[in-house]
Amino acid sequence: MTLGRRHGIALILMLVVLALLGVFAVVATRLVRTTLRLYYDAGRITDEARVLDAAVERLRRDVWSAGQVTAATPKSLSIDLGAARPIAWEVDKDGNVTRTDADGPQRWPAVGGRLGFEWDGAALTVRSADAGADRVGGLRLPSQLRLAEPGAVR
Amino acid sequence: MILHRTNKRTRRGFAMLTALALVALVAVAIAAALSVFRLDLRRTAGAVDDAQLRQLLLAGQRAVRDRLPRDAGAVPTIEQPMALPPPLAAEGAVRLHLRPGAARDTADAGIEARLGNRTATQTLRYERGPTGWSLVSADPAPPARTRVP
Repeated sequence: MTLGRRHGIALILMLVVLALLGVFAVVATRLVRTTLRLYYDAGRITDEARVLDAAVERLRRDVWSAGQVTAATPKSLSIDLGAARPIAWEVDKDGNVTRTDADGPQRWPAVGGRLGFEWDGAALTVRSADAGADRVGGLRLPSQLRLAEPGAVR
Repeated sequence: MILHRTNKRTRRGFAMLTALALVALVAVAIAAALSVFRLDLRRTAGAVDDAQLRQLLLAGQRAVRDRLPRDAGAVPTIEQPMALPPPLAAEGAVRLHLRPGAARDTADAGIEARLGNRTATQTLRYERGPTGWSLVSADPAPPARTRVP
């Protein structure tokens, strides 16, 4: 083998090694980035889910006892429980969910950015609270008072 | 020769550290993903149980209503379990409480539903009108976990 041919093989080997190193660097970078994002997202999703679950649970209990629900806009609700003053639910532009009753406001921060409400006379449909529920039309929160009325859908 | 051997050892050490770092990163990623999956699983299981409990509360409400007098008779005091279909009875129970209300022509009821180690309760008030009994208030307590001995 001539000296020139040996140099050519060494050059090709070096290029292959460089290419492999490049691929490794790209894969390692993506792995680090994905890991960091996943680690951050896991904590955020856990916190958001806990806060949103608490808000939906509270809303579910309000609607369960409601005689009448009025959804003035998809982002605001008025729930009549028979008390002097109805309970108001509102989602502001920052996604903060606020419930206001006679005792004052209660707030669940930054979890309801995409939430939407729709009242059909017997149940409140909440959209964008749960991806699984959205696939079947949203989360349905029934009013037992309305369901118990004669002629209500059972 | 000695220098060559040291270099080779250093390279191996570097490769080992890099491999370990990557394995550690993958482990962190898997742990983070698992924590999200576990939370999702727990939420889903809780949502399914709570939905079933709400169904039991609704059934309890119907059962209590059926026990109210159809005519102008007095409201009976009742405290009894509600019959459930066998698959449900194996892991759950519903208990009904009914008594006359403080005011005339009213009745107060309580429904306790249990499914596994989760429970839900609600307090109901009925009023008698010209067309019969109507449910005027329902006050649910948040679902709770009972301690399993």
